[in-house]
Amino acid sequence: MRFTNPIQRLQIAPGGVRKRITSNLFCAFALLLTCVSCIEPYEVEVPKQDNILIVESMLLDHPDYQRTRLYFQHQDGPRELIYNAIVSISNKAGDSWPLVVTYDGSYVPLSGSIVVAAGDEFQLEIAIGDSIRAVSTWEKVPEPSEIDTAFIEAKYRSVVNNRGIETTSKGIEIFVSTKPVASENTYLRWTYEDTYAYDAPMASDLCSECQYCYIQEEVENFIELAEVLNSKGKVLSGKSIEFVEFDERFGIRFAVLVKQLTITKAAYEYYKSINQLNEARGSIFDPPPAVLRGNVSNNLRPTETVYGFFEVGKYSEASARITKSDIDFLIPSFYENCLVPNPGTDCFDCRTREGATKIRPDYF
Amino acid sequence: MKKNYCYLLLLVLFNYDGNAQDVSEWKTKIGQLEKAFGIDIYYRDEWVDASKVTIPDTSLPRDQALGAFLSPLNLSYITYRKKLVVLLPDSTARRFASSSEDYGSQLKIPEGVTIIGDLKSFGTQRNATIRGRILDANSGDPLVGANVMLVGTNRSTSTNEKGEYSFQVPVGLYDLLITTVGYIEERKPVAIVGDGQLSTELFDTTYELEEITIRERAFENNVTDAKMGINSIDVASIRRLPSFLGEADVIKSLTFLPGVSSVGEGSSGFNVRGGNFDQNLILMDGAPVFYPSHMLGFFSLINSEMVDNLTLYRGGVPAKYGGRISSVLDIRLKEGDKKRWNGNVGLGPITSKAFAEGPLIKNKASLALGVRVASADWILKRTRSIELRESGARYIDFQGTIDAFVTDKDKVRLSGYMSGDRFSFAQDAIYSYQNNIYSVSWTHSFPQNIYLKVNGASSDYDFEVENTETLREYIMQSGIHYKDVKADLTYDPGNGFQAEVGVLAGKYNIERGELEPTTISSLEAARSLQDMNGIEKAVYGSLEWKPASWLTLSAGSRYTTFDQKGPLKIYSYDPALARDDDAIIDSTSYAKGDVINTYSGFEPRGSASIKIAEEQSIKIGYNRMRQYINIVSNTAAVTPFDIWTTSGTHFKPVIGDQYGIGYFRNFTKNKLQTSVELFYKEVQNVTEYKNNADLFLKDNIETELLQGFGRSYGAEFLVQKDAGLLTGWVSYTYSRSLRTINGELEEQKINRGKEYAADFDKPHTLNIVSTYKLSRLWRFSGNFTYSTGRPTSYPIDKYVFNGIVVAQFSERNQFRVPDYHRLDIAFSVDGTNKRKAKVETSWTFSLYNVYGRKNAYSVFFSQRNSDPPVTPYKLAVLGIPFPSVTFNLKFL
Repeated sequence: MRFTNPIQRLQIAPGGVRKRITSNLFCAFALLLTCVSCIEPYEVEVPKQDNILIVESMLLDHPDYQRTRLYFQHQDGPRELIYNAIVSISNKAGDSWPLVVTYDGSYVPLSGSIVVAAGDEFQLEIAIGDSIRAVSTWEKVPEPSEIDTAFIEAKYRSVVNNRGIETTSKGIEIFVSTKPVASENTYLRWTYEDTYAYDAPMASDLCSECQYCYIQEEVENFIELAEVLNSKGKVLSGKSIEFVEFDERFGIRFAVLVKQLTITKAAYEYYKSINQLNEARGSIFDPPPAVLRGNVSNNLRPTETVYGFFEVGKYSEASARITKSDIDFLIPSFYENCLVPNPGTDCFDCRTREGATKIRPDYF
Repeated sequence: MKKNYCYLLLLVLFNYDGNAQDVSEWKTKIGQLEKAFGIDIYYRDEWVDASKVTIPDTSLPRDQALGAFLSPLNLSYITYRKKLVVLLPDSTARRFASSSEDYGSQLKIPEGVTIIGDLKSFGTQRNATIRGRILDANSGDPLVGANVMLVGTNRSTSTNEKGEYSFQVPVGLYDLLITTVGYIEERKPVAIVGDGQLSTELFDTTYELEEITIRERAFENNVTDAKMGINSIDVASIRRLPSFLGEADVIKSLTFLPGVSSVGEGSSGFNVRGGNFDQNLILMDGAPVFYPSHMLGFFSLINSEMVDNLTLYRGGVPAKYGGRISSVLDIRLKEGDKKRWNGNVGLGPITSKAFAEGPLIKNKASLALGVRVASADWILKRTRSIELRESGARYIDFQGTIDAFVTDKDKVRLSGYMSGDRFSFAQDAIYSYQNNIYSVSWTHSFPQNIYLKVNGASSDYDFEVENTETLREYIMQSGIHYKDVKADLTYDPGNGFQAEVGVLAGKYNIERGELEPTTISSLEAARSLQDMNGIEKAVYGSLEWKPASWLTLSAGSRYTTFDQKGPLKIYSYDPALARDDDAIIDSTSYAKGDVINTYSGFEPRGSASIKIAEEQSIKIGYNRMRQYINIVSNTAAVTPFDIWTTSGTHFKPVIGDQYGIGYFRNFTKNKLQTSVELFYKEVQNVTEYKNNADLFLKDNIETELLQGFGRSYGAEFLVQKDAGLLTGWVSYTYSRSLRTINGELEEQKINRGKEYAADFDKPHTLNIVSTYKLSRLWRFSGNFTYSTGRPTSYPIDKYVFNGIVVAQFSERNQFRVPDYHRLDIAFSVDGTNKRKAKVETSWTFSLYNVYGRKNAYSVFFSQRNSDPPVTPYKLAVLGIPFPSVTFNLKFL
């Protein structure tokens, strides 16, 4: 599990020219005054809400992305998966697809997958007990914009920390290029998963399965967006979507599967707002934080906010990889991490490492 | 005195020439008296009844002989400089006697008394209008707010922005006392015989008291003037207040006034009585200022050296002002010295400046010119960040005025301001903005106390960012351009009655933004927002009069119209849906010059002051103001790239109604002034941004904004001490500013339609501003300010969505950042106390934020990887004590 530093992303901020202006203006000016501005932790007491419905729902033209997860968010606690909801998706033509819950709490179409064509409009409906009859707004599938290639480059880059101090770090940068865009205004969201080869440094010769594994990671807390206006026929070329600092994962081979989602404007705005709220640094020029509302509401309690979003769109993917020989920088080895008093079990058995698999992913 | 003597001779010649035949006998006898006593006698022939002329007895002492000769004629006399004797009817002489300690028919004007008025008309007037100008003896600059009073009477007035005063008094002998802060008071014995003029000059003094004063227009006028909520600020005193980085800031100093606040340090703009920052009209010699800051808000646009005076109208706005609903800040720039050249230079840690003024044609035309240059580059070069070392922040501004008396009755003023700010960040981007503000005015004095002033103004603000970051290269520009012409006609006979009428026509052109990629490989799409255009016209009239000695009334109205003009394409939206791009059902294109919408309405204003006892009054007032342009912003502070927009199809004009009542009481001969003012304000069509609005380069901005209702109310308490070793004021304000945005659809509501606190709502504000005179040269100043933290939204929840930690924020402004308080101190020393020194030096040692409080500008919630998700942090913009030294060298 990896947490991507939003401050790093600030340097490759998507579309928002304004954000770029404000970030620069503020971070530089705060420092301009000989670091007189200061940021320090602060205690805030706020009343928390309880039992709020979270909707994580995607309907893309890819079977892996036609699933809905529902949770209750409890006060100061973990979220609780909901298994007992009645969930369905319908389109404007009057077709309806009931979704059934799987063992991991995902609601998926009962039979096969739903055909998601550009221009179709879908709605999500959820019923839970007597208190929730949640319904999304109608979401129209956008014209697809396909990814052409993804590529990786090893490089130095400067990052600015929260205090505005610049440091240099070494790592890889992931880029994408799209095919010519089909529609006038296009809204894109990227996510990715990665896999690296892992060699358990202390694996016993007696355990052949223990030595080599593929470690798969799904990126978390990652939002990369682009709003491409007047985009018809335009190609987005060499768009940087992520920078990952070097660590032991690059010791053998590292591969990424970049997933490009063509999403609706509403979904773009929703993610952009999350991004904006998460990257807020309280500056003079920051827009004030505000309540975030998705596209799902509970008809029985219309004043209560339903968290989350029913995201409809088109899917496209591309992969890229880099091996140690492509990297001129010194990469820490797996071995170093195991030279500690109580090494983890994954030092002895690669299969115990989180995300480990013995099956080589196609894109690796 | 010489002048008067000559004048008397002329008068006498006139009399002899015109009446030689009719009163020959009388004249012979007067001649005898003149010869016998070696005097010259002046009189008007029509006062003499020839049948009652007797033979003068020149053997008697002079006074007895004159008394006996004049008594049957019902005439008295006054003696001037022992040799001049002026005859006057008894009725007039009694009036003189009643106003003088010198009783009896043998009324004398003591030596050194200035005669005001035309002796020829002497005796014909019961009341006389006195007018004149009070100037600085060194520079010839007009002194604003100087108090002119007749000692021993309740007659007094104060000088206006041109240093002029006028008032009506019964003819008689008086002591005229002229006082103003920082100048030696002048007491002049005067004989007021008719309408006339008295102008004088006061000497500045470095060792007399130099109080910090805010004034309800000088001394007791805060009690007698009908208008409320008006503060004039003495610019010299602002310079002695502790300041941030040593640069006296005329706009930021306003926040020490009751009812005025700002959202935080380093922020540009100010809020008046619960109004948004774009509801303040800032006028520089009649030209509006659209973005009033340098270096993104840390410094004000206006060079304090160039300011003559500034007046803030936070209530009681006269009908001649309009266009914004909260306040008017009228800044008058300095008039150059018409006698001799002088100047000064100042050095501060960031800003250096020079100022010069002097005559272009002696006593006729003058020039004043100020320049400031500021650079923070040397600080940036010392930071640890590579990017910052490659960055730069600079500004420069020029400000100048030319004043010329074309004739005795015509005065022309040219005023200009140019500034440029440049801010570069690393090698990625260069931000720059310019203000170009000019005005020209012509003032003509007609007979019968009528004045005409014609003013033309132009104000341009342009912002540009050039981004050179790879793949994102672009240039983006925006701006606002304004031109107007206005004319005012004032009738001011000086008896407490004043009438004013005027017209204005102004033109707006708003360039809302244009983005051009600068390379072929740039990913940025060219975008150009449509310009907004409009014409604002106004006609107004106002009256001020005193129906009784205890009552002063002021009433007026303004009638304004606003035409939204083409070219413009306007979208129509499905009324059943929230305004969004998807809800567009139609669009209408208008050609250049087409009038798209017209709005108009009256703006009545009125106030009354009721004097309930000596040094005490109650005032009431009402104001309506209309506003046709707004800033489109969702930040709490003004930013240099904020765009303005006009009223139009989707935005109705903002209308503000303000009601006020106040109690004013002065103590110890007006040296201690106190007041309590209550106000209630309602604002229709107040504009607010939607939650998570994206206002940047948005053509149909109406999709991101909502209009609703706002109200604010409050109580302002002020205690001010103008004299003594310790001077200053304490003000406390309780006020609220609330908004209700409750459209029909859910998307057209904020906080689900319930009333909420505006972004700048700060209920409690306490300001203490004081100066203590330590010695003749040393002075200590201290400010303390406290205010409630501004409202904000906090996360009430956090949750994970698609692997992303999301902070769920509360409804708008349900929480507040911590309270703000700060103490600043300054020691200043003026290096000379000589009145005729050639050079004056002064040093100011300032410490801003003495106890280094980390006042929160904001509280935000970080997603740094080192923290648990949604960890609260506090941002303090100036969280340490901030010392500075400023040196000023003045050439006299």
